[in-house]
Amino acid sequence: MNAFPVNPSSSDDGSLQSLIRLIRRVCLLTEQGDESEAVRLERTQLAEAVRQYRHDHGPDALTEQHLAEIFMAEQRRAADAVVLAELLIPQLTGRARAEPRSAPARPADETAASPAASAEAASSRAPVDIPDFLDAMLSGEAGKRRVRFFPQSTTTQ
Amino acid sequence: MSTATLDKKVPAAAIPANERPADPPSASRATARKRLLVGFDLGTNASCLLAGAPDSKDITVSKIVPSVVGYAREGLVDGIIAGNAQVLIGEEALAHRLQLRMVAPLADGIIAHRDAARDFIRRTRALVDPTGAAEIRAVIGVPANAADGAREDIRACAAGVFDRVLLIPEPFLAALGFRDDARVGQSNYVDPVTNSLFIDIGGGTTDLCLIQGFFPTAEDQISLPFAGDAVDKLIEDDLARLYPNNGLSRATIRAIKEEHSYVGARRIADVKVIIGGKQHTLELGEIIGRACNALIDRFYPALTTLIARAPSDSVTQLLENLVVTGGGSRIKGIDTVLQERLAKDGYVAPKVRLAGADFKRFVALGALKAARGAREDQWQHLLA
Repeated sequence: MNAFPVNPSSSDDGSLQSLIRLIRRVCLLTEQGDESEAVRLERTQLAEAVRQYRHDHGPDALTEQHLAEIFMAEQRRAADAVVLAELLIPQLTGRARAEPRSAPARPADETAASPAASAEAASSRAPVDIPDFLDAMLSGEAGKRRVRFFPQSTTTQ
Repeated sequence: MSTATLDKKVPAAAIPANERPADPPSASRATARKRLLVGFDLGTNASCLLAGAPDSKDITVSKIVPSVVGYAREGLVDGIIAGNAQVLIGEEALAHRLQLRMVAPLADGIIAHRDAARDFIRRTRALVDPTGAAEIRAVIGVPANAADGAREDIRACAAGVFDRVLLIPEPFLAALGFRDDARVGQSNYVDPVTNSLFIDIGGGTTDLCLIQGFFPTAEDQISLPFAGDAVDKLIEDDLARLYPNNGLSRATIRAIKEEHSYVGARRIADVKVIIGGKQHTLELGEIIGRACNALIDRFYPALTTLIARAPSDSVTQLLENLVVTGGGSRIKGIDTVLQERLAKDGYVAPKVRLAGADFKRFVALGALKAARGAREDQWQHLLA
């Protein structure tokens, strides 16, 4: 049985919860490949939090063994979270696209109210189409011209 | 924004010659092979690869590899390097740096050593496809101002490694990677691909690029040879003046900067350093702040120049989509200070955003999106 609380919700100690959250961030950054930021966080904020915790609660309150247990638990969580995100996000994104948009419709006269609003509406109605961009890029490479790659409006300036 | 990838630490491909992936089979055989798409950000200091199947949105491989190749020195004792590999890349090369001759294949964003670049790309392919059996198509980011020769170098090094390639300007790929695809089309979302200005603060250069639905040309971008390395040098010079013979290495100074960098009003930065074997606490707030503020002073005129080049009816929206990326985006307060400075100079409601923790992946992510969107006839063949 794990003698040390590794779930922040099971601990009533705020400073311990903060410390566990920091460890979780370190593990997540490592899992995401951001090694330098993980090391930076570990050497600065986490080191300081551990020092403070031991200062406040005594050196035996958080042994190296306890710390290692928390790290292992959070590493597992971070790995699971990343796998879940990888599996779920494409599905959720696909579902959101399949459903009708719930955003309120913009009044017809609002888009005509100002050039800025008009430009915004224009760009949001015409998301860049990748094949069109590539066509423009490939033709532009040959002539070194400034080529627009909005859909249905490929022009040379 | 998250790339939502299954990340693995870079084991960095130690591949003995006899285990290298086979050269891609001819196009006639390619149809029978499993196809993988790769988004490849070939960077000066680090490269990022994302890979996935063409008919999916999943990312199956996500790796950041230090852009370095190590060649075994002569006379190396057997067994020192696993498998007696003669060529290593990435973290594994760095781990054996004493036994290897280290070569950085790129400098200032373009290939500086063709042979090393070819070795590097060949081994990164093995990270994506260890069996060497798949058909690999790669979209590779290139600096927007890369000359024809630099593009040709990339094609030459990728020949015989990837089956098909597309070279696309990095600022466009960064915008595509930064774009929240789920929000494109929403009335309150400004698509960064159609109207944004990217400020990429790297190690050697700060690159600013207008992305406005155009293929970025020279007039859409400004590249300044003043970035993170220059900030390190300013801090180093000030330290040498205030604390002569401090003995702090450039790497230590960079680490101090990365931890304490800020812009704006003076902050306190008590830094613990070891000098001559003894620990000292130095207050470096002023030195670090001065160096970082110098960075903003250097690129701010370029920022306003590019804003002035944007069509007048697009500027209001453009000002809402100023994005700071690269390592410099970690400087504390850089978004706020830039925003305040623009507002003070009379720009209407400027909004500066930071690319966030995923900044290292945006180019590769945009490249993978482009790979998935490319038509069959747009892929370019490579002559090995």
